[in-house]
Amino acid sequence: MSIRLENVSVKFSDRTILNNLSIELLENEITFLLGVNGVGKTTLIRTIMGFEKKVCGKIYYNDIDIDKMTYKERSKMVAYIPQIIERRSSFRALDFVCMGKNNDLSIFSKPSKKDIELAKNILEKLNIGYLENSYIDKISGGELQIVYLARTYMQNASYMVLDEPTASLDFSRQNDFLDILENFSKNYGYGCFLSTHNPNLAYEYADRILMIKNGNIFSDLKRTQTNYKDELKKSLTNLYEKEVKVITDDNKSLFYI
Amino acid sequence: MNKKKFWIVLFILIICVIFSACLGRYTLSLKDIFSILVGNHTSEVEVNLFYNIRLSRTFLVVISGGALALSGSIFQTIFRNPLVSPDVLGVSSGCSVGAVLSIVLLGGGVIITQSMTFLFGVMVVLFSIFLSRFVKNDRILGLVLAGIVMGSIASSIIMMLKLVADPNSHLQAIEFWLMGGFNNATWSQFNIIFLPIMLITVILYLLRYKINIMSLGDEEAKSLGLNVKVVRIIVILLATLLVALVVSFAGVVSWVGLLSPHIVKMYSKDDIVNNFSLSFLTGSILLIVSDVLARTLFTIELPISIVTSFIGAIFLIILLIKNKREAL
Repeated sequence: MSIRLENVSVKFSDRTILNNLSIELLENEITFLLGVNGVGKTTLIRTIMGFEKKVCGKIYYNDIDIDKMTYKERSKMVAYIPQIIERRSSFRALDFVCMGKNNDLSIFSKPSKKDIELAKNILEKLNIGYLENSYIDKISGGELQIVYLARTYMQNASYMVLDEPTASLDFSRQNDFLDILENFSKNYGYGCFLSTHNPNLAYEYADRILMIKNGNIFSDLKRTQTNYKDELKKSLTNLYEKEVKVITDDNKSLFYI
Repeated sequence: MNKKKFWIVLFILIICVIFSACLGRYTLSLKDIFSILVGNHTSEVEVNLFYNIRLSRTFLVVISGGALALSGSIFQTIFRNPLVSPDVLGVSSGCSVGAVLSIVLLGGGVIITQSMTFLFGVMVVLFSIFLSRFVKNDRILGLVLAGIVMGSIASSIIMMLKLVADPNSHLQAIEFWLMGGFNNATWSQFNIIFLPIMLITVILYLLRYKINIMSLGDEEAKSLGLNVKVVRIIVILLATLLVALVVSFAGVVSWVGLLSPHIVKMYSKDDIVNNFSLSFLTGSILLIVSDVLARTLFTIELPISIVTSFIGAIFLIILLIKNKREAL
């Protein structure tokens, strides 16, 4: 499953947010998106999901133009985990996870017993089986993120787009969640695209790091390329317009300003 | 669904139905009702009173309350706003215009008033939906704004009609209609609205999973493969039809649609899928209690909205105090 954007522009009234942007996101890769506040990370993510009206350009899932696909067809390819800001609805976690099956159900039908078993199973596999009957507005942000992963699994998509999944998590849960995400992605063959404000998390988990600035991708780095760390340092300096340094210890690196 | 809560609420409703059959200007005792039901009651008048007046009225109130409450729950779910009532698209105002027009210009016969009421209610809602399309980015905001606009136009038309209405006959009829009531309930009215209300309720029941997903918000719902636009319009139209059906024979019944979902939330914190039948039953209970109060509190019968508005206000205060830490 790959996602391709070709010359996509998005404007809010007369402000250009994305300017003729083209990228290709490859299957089974974890791609991180970095960018300063207000630069359009969320807009890019929403554009990939098909939520934003674009002025021009095309978006393809597996070489199919998404404008020609129904929401159902799209949902079988790409899953979305929004930024968790407010939780107003009180669903039981299990019911919430079963909602992932919606793209397999006709308008009048409900999740089957088999679907519910499957949902229970995936909650067990993600080690949150105990949350089954909890209401999602009463569990922690970290737990909710994992419940979202379970729902994504039910959805049977093969790519996941996440908007700042670590933003609401504490220092150690950020790593916990990304460990789970990495395992989930490798075990079930998901590609992931996620935004973050923390370059160190990106460096630790990403197969590829994209940076966005002035409405376009200005840096595209792959873990496998030569001089990855130095290139990343250079790009980060460019991105934040401040000297970014790096220290290395025990095979781990820390970027700081 | 929580089976235990369902049976408890159903039990309470049955008790309320029995009380509603007993109480009124002429009181029937439980013993009377029992003997009427087994068929060896002596007074022909009381048998008649029970079957033709009390029972028809009670059943009408039960399905009306349920329909209003269900409509309210669904509106609050898909608008993701606990203060939305089924009137948000102007259905009651539209219905009122139809009723007032019929009273002032067409003589106000029962059938003509009901048809006009229903037609105008549906027309106003369709027009609201049409208007809402002009707000580009936020569909929900568009719908709310369009509802306010249409409601305002409707009330200005009503005020104008009141101004020209004959103060001796029409004006009183208008006022009574605008405050609602079940005093004209008959079996034939029940027969007219029972089937459509049940049909719509069943369709909404079948759609309950989609309605639930709508409550995640447009974007998440889309990402789960839901055709948000289509489902929303279908559900809004159906939920509005429920209200139009009730209002067309009972007049404006305020507060039930807004309040019932909150009462349900007090004892069952769950989603619309699990609370669907509880919503309906709770509305029935709320309206039946209001109706009994309306006809027993004073020697004259009160219009229903006087009672529902008062109960509504008291309940809202209780809710505010109870939930002062959490938002509604």
